[in-house]
Amino acid sequence: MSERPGQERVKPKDCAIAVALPSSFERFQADRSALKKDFVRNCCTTWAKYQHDVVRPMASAVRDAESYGVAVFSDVTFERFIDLCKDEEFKVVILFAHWTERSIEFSDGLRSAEEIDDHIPSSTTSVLDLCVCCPEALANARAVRAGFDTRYNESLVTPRIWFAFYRFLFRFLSTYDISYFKAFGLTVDYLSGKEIA
Amino acid sequence: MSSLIEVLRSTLDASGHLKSVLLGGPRASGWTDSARSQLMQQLGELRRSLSWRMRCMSFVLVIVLIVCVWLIYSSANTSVGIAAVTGGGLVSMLGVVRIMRHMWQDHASIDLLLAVLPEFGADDAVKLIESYYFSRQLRDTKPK
Repeated sequence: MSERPGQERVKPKDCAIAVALPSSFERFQADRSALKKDFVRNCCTTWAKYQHDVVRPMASAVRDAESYGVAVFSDVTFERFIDLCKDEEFKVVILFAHWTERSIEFSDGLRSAEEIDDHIPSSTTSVLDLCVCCPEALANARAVRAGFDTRYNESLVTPRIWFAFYRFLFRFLSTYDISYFKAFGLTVDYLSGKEIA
Repeated sequence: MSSLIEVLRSTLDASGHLKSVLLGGPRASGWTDSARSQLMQQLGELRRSLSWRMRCMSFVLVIVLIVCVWLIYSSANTSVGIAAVTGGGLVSMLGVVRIMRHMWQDHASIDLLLAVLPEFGADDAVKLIESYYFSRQLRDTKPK
């Protein structure tokens, strides 16, 4: 019997990070006036705070991840995300995005869980890591369940913390010959002060 | 003795604007006019305290200069004496000037905040405070 994708051994070069949050001042400004956007308009309205809480930690994490060979995609649109999910080069796709009631905000606007589910391939063998606030509706959607080993957060996501978390995760993936979920568990243990065997 | 940044931090903390940005969930609550009045009162007190401290520092600066000149004369203008006093005086003055520069920056920022805060609505006023506070944080901390 073949292993579940989350149990397969992966290296950082097998991972892709898709960041759907604005990564520059221009994007931030554009989102501030875009009616079909929610994050900047409702969750973080000042550039200085956004820079402090999102842009700077993201830049450090991206620099770190790229040094391990992780492919990082900024200002990801819905189509780009779907392409990444279809891309067999990547065994793990990590999505950083804002979640409203039933939609994920991509660079080109909000897309409902159902819409994403309709476009996502159901025959891949990848891990989908949703670094999004409580996206149960998407994680439990039909195609997502069929095609991916999914991990998601059941609580609110603080980008500052999670960007730092992934820096450690990629270090573990690079150092040890382990699966993505194992590396995730090790990172949690390491950051919570437990001894790592 | 609190600084401008501490006053702003406590104001933002009290209104929930200091919490980290989340990828979902509720936004921080709005700001009230009473919170703004309280902040303006605190800024007014801080401004008075800073003015007094800046006067004290100016006095210290003048004293350091006088002492340096007096030491040079009393050491009979020997080259070693002049070098030692000039060096010591310069180091002391650099310290005093550095502190005064920070005070002056805070003083100018408080003047500006006191002038513009009453002109904004509560929501815009808190954005101004947030922007100023986090800009300072970004300036004072280097990226890791």
